[in-house]
Amino acid sequence: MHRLNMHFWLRQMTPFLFCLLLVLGHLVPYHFLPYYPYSIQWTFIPIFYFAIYNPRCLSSWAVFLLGIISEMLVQSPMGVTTFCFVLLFFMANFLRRYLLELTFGRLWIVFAAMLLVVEIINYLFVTMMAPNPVAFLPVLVEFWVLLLFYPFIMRLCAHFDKKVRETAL
Amino acid sequence: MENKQFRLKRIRSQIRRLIPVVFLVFAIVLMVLWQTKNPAIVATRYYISDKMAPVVSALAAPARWLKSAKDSFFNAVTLYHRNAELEEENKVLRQWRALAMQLESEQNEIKKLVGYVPYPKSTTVVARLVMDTGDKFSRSYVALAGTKDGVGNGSVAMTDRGLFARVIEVGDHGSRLMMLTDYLSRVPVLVGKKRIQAVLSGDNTNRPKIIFTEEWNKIQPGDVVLTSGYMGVYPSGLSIGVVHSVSENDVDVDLFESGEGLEFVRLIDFGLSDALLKTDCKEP
Repeated sequence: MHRLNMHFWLRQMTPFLFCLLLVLGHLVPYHFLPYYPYSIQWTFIPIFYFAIYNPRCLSSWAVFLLGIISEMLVQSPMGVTTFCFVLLFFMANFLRRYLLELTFGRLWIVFAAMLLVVEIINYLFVTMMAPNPVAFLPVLVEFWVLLLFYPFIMRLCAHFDKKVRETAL
Repeated sequence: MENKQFRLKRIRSQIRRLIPVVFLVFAIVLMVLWQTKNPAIVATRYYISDKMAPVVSALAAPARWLKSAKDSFFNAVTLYHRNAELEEENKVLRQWRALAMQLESEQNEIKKLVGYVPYPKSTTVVARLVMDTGDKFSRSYVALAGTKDGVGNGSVAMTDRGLFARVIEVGDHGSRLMMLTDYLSRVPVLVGKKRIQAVLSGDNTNRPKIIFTEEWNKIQPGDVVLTSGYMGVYPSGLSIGVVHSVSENDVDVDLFESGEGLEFVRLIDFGLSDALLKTDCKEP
């Protein structure tokens, strides 16, 4: 019985653990793109997915916690990444009913729009805190890379979600 | 009665949907606390970062293995050409070595004549870079060496090519390095043979900019950039890079060491941490 409970909780925690792994993977000092020395914040995609399809498994407090963990580890100003994570979650979760009815392609476009808003807010916050202007190019690159890899990570999230739902049943 | 229950349920659901707003407010509070350099937040962040360094080092093992396999493969492929190149380079370097030895002896004589007081003895530690704690806005690494290994706050991180970062936080087993390209980095420098005083400012691109100089029109592409030692935060004469391009009020510098793909660095403590406190240059 105890083992069964443990198994159930581990499965329920899968989305959070997956996001945590992405946050920690962000810190590995070998970069994904050659000649591009910045890390990509992959966590945005699972947050968007679970905010729409299974917000009970990755609730707002879990997203907040992920932001805090991420910021405790990186050098960027505290609060900014957390704000962006929660903002994306909030926007996706707030429009959940409408987004659930959209086709994959349209959802992709909505993700692009929401990500753009989040990235611009992120950039504005950092620029406000920085002593002089900060380069905008890394923001654009992250935006396009996330859009490009959106279907693959969404599929991975859907796989985890399916496993979680199977356990819940 | 049923209607009332339904309404209550609806209100509860609406409130639940607004919980993220509370977290957004928390995040803004965190930003304010960070901007005011709240000591508890700074200390907690560094404590967690220090403890996480070995975990991330273990996580990075597969990536390290892949990189080493890739490097070995490409080294084997280009071995013949590299050998020929190195032989040519070695011939040139031998000539430079003779010149350097001659200049060193002259410099020693001059130092004796003018009664030059050298920098205090430095301590050097070689450390592995285990965490890339930068993101799309900041550029920093964590090295697996801390106070227990003799690293102090303000130590400089160098390779055989040149300076590339400075230690801004130091824990027992790890230290956080802020790269010269980070948007918070400022280094007093001397540019070119005319030794023009300026400041090298990171802007999060691969080419930091020269700022705070009125003599920018005297700067030429190819001029060497060295630390000036002004303000005592960095020792003088450490090589940084060369001027890449010059336009009105915009001088880009190509760093000798970009830090990309580095595994090990030399952390040199020149004992300048007191200067950091005095000049209030300590980063958050």
